[in-house]
Amino acid sequence: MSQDKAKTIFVIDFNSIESHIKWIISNRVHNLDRRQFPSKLVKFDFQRCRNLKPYHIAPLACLIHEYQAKGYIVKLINSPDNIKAYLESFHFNQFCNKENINNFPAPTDPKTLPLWRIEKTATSVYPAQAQKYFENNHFNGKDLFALSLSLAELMNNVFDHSESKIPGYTFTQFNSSRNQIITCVCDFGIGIPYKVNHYLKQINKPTIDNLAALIKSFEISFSTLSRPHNRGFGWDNIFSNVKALKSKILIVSNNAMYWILDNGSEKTCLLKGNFPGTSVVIYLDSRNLPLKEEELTDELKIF
Amino acid sequence: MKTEKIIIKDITSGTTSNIDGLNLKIAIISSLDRTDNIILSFEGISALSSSFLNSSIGEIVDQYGFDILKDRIIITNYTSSIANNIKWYINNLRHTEYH
Repeated sequence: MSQDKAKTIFVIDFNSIESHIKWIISNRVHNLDRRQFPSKLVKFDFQRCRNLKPYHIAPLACLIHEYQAKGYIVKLINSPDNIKAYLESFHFNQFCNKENINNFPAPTDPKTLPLWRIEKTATSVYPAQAQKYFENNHFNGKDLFALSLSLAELMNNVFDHSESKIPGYTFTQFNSSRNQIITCVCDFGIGIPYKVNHYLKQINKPTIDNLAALIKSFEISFSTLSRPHNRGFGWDNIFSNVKALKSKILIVSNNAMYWILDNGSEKTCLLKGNFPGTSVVIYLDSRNLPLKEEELTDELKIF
Repeated sequence: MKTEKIIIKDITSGTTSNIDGLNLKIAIISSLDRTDNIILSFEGISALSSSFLNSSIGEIVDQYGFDILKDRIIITNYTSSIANNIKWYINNLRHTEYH
């Protein structure tokens, strides 16, 4: 323990989802031993990190937000040079200083888009901004509607269903060596399987295991009707786009995990740990992006 | 026959949220009262979320039925992705109806 009686959390760039979940749970603010760490300061130590990805950054932002919401001051320490440069490139320090999160200067590295807090008033802004940003910086002439559409669906899901006490976060980055645009949308809400089973109970139907519940949420027209306007078409919209671009999506919610791989196959798994909410990671293969489409000016019947 | 054009980007800040969709729904309903046919212009728009479509097209269908889309609403300045997205949505709506 440090002399200032502050908790130090070692940030790790996990490859294992199970280890990542375990780390998140053990480091959440409500699991902090306040007798051992009475200070209102919490330090995030990056010395064990080498290569952070969006699926590390978005949950880390939720974790930090929980501390900030309880009045903690957050300090980032011991960042190796490459990690320091990476975090500075999208102004992560400003986020930790509780500055206006959705009003950051442009990133110094055009491969990353600043971390974005998912706020109801700004759902229209970010997806379109993300699309334009990557189209202008990396994919001139290509169409990234799949990115903006997926982000819009996922951000709407966070609002409509997550019941999270803190806002969710999203972070997007282009990995040029792997030809992937990786985006993560994360919330610390109740999780999809829990939400589905809660709904099934409400309508006097038997509950199902968490994996079945996660898969049920993907069924077209299945909706827990958190809001009257929900119709259960959102996941199908995302999956169609991911499959059309021969790309990948990973969904981790409570202890259920679901993958669609770039060959279109699906993989599911029950995890030992329970993710405190939902994390969705989309890996768009930038080689498969379609060309920007021409607008057609004829008049078309839609039905 | 009287026709009115609704340029979507002029009446809503985006096409991803329920609020955006609600703005379109209001514009369509008010136009239906004044005119025979409506042309929806998707100029400058590249993606539509299901939330946007739920609160616009979906609610119009709930209120007026599918015939309103068949008889009085057409689209213009659309990309083929937008047209496919709308058709995908209407198809899903139809499949979730009682027969």
